[in-house]
Amino acid sequence: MFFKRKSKEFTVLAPTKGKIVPITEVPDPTFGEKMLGDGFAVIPKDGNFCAPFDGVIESMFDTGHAFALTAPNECSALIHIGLDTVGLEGRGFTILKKEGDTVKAGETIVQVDLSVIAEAGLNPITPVVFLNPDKMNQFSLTCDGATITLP
Amino acid sequence: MTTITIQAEHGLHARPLAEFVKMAAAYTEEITLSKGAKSANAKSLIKMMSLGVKKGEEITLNVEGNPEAEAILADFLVKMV
Repeated sequence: MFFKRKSKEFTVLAPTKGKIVPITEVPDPTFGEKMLGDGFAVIPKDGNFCAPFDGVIESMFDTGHAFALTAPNECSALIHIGLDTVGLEGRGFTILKKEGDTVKAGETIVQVDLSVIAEAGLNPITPVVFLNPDKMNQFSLTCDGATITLP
Repeated sequence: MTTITIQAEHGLHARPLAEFVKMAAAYTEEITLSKGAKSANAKSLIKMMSLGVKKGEEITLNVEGNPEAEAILADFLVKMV
């Protein structure tokens, strides 16, 4: 009798409510062509953007349109709320957490008024990109987000 | 070391940084970007984001022992929009 060692799985939640799509569907080459790394995207239906996993906020843009989170297992993700939203200069974005804060999965980090993004004619699709491919063996989408198989 | 004043309208934000980090990662040399007393590894997107460089701010690029690479990367930062 032998035991197959089960590889460790890391569960990642979608940062907000909405439809989860492969990152390749993001109409921006930086994300869609995986320039930064693999991941997924969510088409938001809700303006509460949360931590996809337990971790520390490593970086938060003053405009609130993007932040990076690192898990204790060293997986880091960039959550970029909408495309070209840097141009809103923070309009419609309320930042609730700051750099260095420890957060739990599901905890709200940025609140967004999605109507501001819509009125500006911007796409609210939110890529979640994993920045360290060496920390993950496999990446698969789930109905709630994604599962990463750790080395 | 090359000193650059960032002209990009929104400073060093995620997308241009992504392209820059990709370029920087292609070199084996140690590459750092500094703003004031803060210094960051140019091959790490998160570290670069943490510098929070805005339009009109001055940054210093250093590519250890490779002036050609430094010129190419500095040019990219200057022309960034």
